[in-house]
Amino acid sequence: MRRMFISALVFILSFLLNTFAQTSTGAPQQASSVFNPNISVVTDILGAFGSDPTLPDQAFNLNEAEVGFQSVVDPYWRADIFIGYHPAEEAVEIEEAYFTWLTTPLGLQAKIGKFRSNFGKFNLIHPPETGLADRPLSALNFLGEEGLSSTGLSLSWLLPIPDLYLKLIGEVTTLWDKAPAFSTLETDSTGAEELAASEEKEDLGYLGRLETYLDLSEAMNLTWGGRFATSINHPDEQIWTRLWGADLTFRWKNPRRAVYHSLTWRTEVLYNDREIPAGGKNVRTWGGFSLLDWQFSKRWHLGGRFDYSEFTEVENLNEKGGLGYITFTPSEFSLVSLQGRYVKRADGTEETAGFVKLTFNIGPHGAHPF
Amino acid sequence: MKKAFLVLILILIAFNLSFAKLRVVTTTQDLASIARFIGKDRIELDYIAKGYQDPHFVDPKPSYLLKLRRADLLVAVGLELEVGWLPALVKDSRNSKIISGKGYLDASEAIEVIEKPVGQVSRAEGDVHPFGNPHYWLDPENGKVIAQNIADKVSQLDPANSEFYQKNLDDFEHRIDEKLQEWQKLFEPFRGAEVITYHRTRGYFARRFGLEVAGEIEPKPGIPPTPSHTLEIINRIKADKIRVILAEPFYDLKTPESIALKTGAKVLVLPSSVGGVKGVEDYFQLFDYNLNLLRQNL
Repeated sequence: MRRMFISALVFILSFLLNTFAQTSTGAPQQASSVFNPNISVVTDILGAFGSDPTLPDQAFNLNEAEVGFQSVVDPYWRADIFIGYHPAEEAVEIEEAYFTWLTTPLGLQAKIGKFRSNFGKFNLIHPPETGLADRPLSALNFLGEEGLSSTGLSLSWLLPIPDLYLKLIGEVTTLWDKAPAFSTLETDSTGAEELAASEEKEDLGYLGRLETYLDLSEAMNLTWGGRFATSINHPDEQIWTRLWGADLTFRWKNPRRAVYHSLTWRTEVLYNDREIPAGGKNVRTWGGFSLLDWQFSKRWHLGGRFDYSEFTEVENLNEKGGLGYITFTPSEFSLVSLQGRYVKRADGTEETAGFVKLTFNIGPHGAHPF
Repeated sequence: MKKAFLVLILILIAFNLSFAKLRVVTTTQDLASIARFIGKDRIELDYIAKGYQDPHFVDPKPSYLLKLRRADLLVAVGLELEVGWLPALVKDSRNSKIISGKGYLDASEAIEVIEKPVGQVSRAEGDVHPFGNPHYWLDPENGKVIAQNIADKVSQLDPANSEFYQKNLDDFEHRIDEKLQEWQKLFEPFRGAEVITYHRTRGYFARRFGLEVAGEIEPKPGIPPTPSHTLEIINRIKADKIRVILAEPFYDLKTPESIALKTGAKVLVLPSSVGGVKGVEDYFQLFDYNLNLLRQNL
């Protein structure tokens, strides 16, 4: 009897194990691809020629390839992740990776992660997508080659004033250690210069911005804003840089002919107030740019940018110049641009450069920037 | 006295809330027109893209966020018509109702979509709509489907007025049936007529009213006319004696007019949306205008 019972038990257990095993090793359930993130790639190729010593060594360069992954995470969050490959530095970098809280009350919106700082409109644009072969002199000299970007929290509030667009933004992040305005140029033992910034955990970057928008007519509008960013600027001393800025964008686009003609004029200025070691007189300098883009035909743009920039650590020096371009956009997803640049450096040298820029975009249709 | 004043304030607030109209924002004037027939004066209605704008290319202006942030319901055409601008607005709207979907309606639900791309879909075919032709409101029968979708959604969000919305839906459907009979009778002599269009907009309209779209000025959607393709169109017009070239108000007429000059065909600026031209103030006038202009020139 006992033997029969044990045999039956073994049989039943074997049956159940076998059934379970079949279920677990049966045809795998295919996860739905509906929930896959939107994946996009922007590739930026640049040909550069001229006397400018800051140009890349090679005539043609894959400037950057950036992959974007964007999706809603759940009813509460969405995620935006952008990973860039920079062949010149042989580096893969997380350009942005942030979560946006979708259900914040009272007109607030919270963003957590690594993101481009709200220091003007231009700083928000990823380098491959600016349409320009370079960045403005003031952006390079004060904010760095990649602009201001860091990890932390951003909170924006669309003020609940009827019929008025007024947005207030506050950000707290790790300090911007690649930005000349928030670091110090040091010379190492080999004579090489590099930026050094504070590595103290409690030394954070603080940014505030107020922006508004006005429809002048159905074809013309203005966006303008003021911003302020501050952080420690020295690796060893508690001295601060305060960076003030203002930006104004004028747009004209007849909605009845929106795809054929448009005009965008953007001007951004910044003012640098930098404390220096040993309590010396603050360095106060400024810079800015003004960019005009004229779409004169469905697929053609003509434009130019004027640059003026002083420097973050010394006064009474400046460099200025300009960039002109003509751009052909075969579709919304590609562009070819011929660009020419002139810069007069602080030491009086003049440099010229010519560029051929090609940008391609594959993946789901991204939103048109505004 | 203070207590009475407070009670009065509370009553006023309650009154305001209980009589607060459902705030509906639509992406296009066509959807707004249909929503107005359903909701009449019991909804607060606004729209984003005007009828004379190309709905594919609308700038996501911050002023539109002011409309969206208070909306109880956002109604979109869908089928990726607004994919270039609407997601950015919704994302920044700070309106959990429309972000969560509770206050969002894709009006293409239950629409029998035509011209769905088959095989591999890529942008080698131009700015294709991967889910099919999104200009479905240009068939009055689809107007009834849109109206049903809107009526169901507003009834769900505002059940107190559900009976009112459903009655208006019945009236709208009845009127569509009557007008459709009238339109089809008036247009019967022109069934089978060939037309050239600028963009692939008129599939639903052509199917309903018996037109044959013999070609498009754009060689592929969103791609400007090329000389070789323009020559093909010219030859087609001459061979088939096509009388009209249809273009929406937001297109550049240089190429269509050049073709017209070489072929004797006539360029008709035909609105594809309510508000596209003066005199087209609602959904029914859109068809009145289009069909009358076609009848006068075919």
